[in-house]
Amino acid sequence: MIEEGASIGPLNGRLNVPIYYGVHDKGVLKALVQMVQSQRGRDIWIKMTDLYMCPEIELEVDTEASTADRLSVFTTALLGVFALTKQVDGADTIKVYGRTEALVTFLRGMHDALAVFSSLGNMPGINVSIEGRWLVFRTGK
Amino acid sequence: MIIDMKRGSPLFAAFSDNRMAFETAVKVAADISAKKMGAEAASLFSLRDGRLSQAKQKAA
Repeated sequence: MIEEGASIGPLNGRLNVPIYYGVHDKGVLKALVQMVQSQRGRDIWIKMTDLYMCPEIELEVDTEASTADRLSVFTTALLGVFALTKQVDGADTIKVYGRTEALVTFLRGMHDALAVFSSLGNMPGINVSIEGRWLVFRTGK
Repeated sequence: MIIDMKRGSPLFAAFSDNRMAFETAVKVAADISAKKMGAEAASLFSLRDGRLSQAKQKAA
């Protein structure tokens, strides 16, 4: 049973196993975020490895409105992962994996925009970069 | 054992110190990137996002 597995519950202390959190909107589950934590020395990396949309969203006909819905779920999930790092002592890196070519293109576009915002001082303490297929957020040291 | 959860991780501290601006930056960046992609953005996170075709290629 999933309730007895290692994939649910608080993040802290669970390394190298898939962990799932739900993205909710007004009590309705919109998506599942898959994350994996790994350790590099004293630092903890949290990798957002996949996002499983609920069937109603995933199967929607591709329109401007459905694209906006999906992007809203994605940004909610990403910001939720940032909020979850409160549970993890030593977390200094969040990486978002581009599973498809379209997602890699999207993440690279996000990086370009975020780099501009960062240069304008809108993201103090957080650096953003692209590493292969990953969009990476790190604390500035 | 008591864990100080006031500040959380270094990343959470940076995030929460400037939360509204950071959330806005992420949302605007996602919007800009999707607009740059044009019609291709419609396939992001849909069943037509390339997963099935990529899975078929791997299986072949």
